[in-house]
Amino acid sequence: MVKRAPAIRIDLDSPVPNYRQIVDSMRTHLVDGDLAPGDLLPSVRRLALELGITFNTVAQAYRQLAEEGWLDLQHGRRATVIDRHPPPGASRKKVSGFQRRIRQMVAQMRAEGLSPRDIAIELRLVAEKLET
Amino acid sequence: MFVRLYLLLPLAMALASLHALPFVPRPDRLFGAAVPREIRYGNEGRQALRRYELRLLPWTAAALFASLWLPLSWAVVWADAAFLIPLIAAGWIFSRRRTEIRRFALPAPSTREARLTDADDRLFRQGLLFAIPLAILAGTALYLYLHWDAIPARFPVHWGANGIPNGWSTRSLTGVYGPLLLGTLIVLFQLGILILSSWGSRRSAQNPAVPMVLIVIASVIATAFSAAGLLPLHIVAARTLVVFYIASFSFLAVMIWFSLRRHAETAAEAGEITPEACWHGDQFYYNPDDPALFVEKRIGLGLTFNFGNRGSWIVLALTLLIPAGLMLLAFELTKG
Repeated sequence: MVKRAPAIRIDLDSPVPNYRQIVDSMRTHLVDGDLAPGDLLPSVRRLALELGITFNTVAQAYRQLAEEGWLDLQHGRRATVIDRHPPPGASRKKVSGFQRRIRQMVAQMRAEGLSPRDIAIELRLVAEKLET
Repeated sequence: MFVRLYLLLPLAMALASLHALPFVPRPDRLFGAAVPREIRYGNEGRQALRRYELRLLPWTAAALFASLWLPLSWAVVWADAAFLIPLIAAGWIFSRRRTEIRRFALPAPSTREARLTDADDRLFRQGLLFAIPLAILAGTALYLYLHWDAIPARFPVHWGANGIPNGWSTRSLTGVYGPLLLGTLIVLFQLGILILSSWGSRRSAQNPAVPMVLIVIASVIATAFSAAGLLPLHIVAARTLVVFYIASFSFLAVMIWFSLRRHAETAAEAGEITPEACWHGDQFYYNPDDPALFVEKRIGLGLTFNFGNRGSWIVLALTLLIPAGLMLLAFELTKG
């Protein structure tokens, strides 16, 4: 069976900038292994066309992922996923930054009407996926 | 009899396509509006479709009836009018039904989705199939080259209604190979349209069967121009040509039908979404922020230009200038 290419989704009405949404969505696929080293990504033109947004927005997202070490962007070639070696350990400052962001997200979820129980289920699912 | 049949067959197909128009777009569209399935297949949808068919029927029936009885000497006028008048009527009836159904239209979602694949829509493989019509033309050119000495110095290329030749050509490069050159340019023009439309539109807007239909049309054109190209050596009987056209049109009709069915099936999961505010008069799409050269028409079938994109204007100019250039070339080639 042919493997179906992963999809990314953006919300034009979201307060999060489009390029940020693309980066977040693609990083999730990269971390989950849906995109493996050696995989070719669509060209900036093709992805911008499919999403109906400007080329610059997609180019900015690709550059951001290349800076994080996920992509190889060589002139005249398709963006390629590369084997990324994560840094050995995040600094204490970075860890507390992530903790703050998780708390902010939980607060936002509660503000949007999700019950503490539903939020706990979602977080548990994420944690279980991490452990497998 | 054959001439009337020759004119009636494409007309009947064209009129039938006007009746089929509301049924062929993707299943979530009705008269160009994205509606819930319960409306599309419910009472409201059925009634709107019935009204469209019933109001169009007198126009198409009158056009066919007139084409059966009007004298052939008027064919220049009625052959065009018999399609154009029902076409205008269908456009009007369609827009009336669209106005009725629009109140059920779903709001355009703000989310957009794209697959992270580098596959270019099988474009290259489909483009290779254009080798078929080009091979037909090349084969004819080779045959003429090998039988060059058998070509008379002057040969007929056009016949009047009375069957007497009224147009002649000479054994020269343009005189012999002219029709084949013209046929080749037309086929290449079609290939260009296929490449540009695939390159400049979203995958969700593309009908996967369109390339096959274009290849069949190109093959029919190549065969017709090859028949014209063989005139210096063999005169193809009018009866053979009529049989050829009937077979071609029938085959084409079957291909188009399968193409439309396939489109309806494959496009069912996700249609193209374009912002409502960017449509002017329901026909013209203008969105400078959208990098697409072509977007899906409101009707849900076929592509139209994004007039907010400068590239679209260039493509539009080319699609007007190239056929005009080909017509001029045809005129020059047949002048002698």
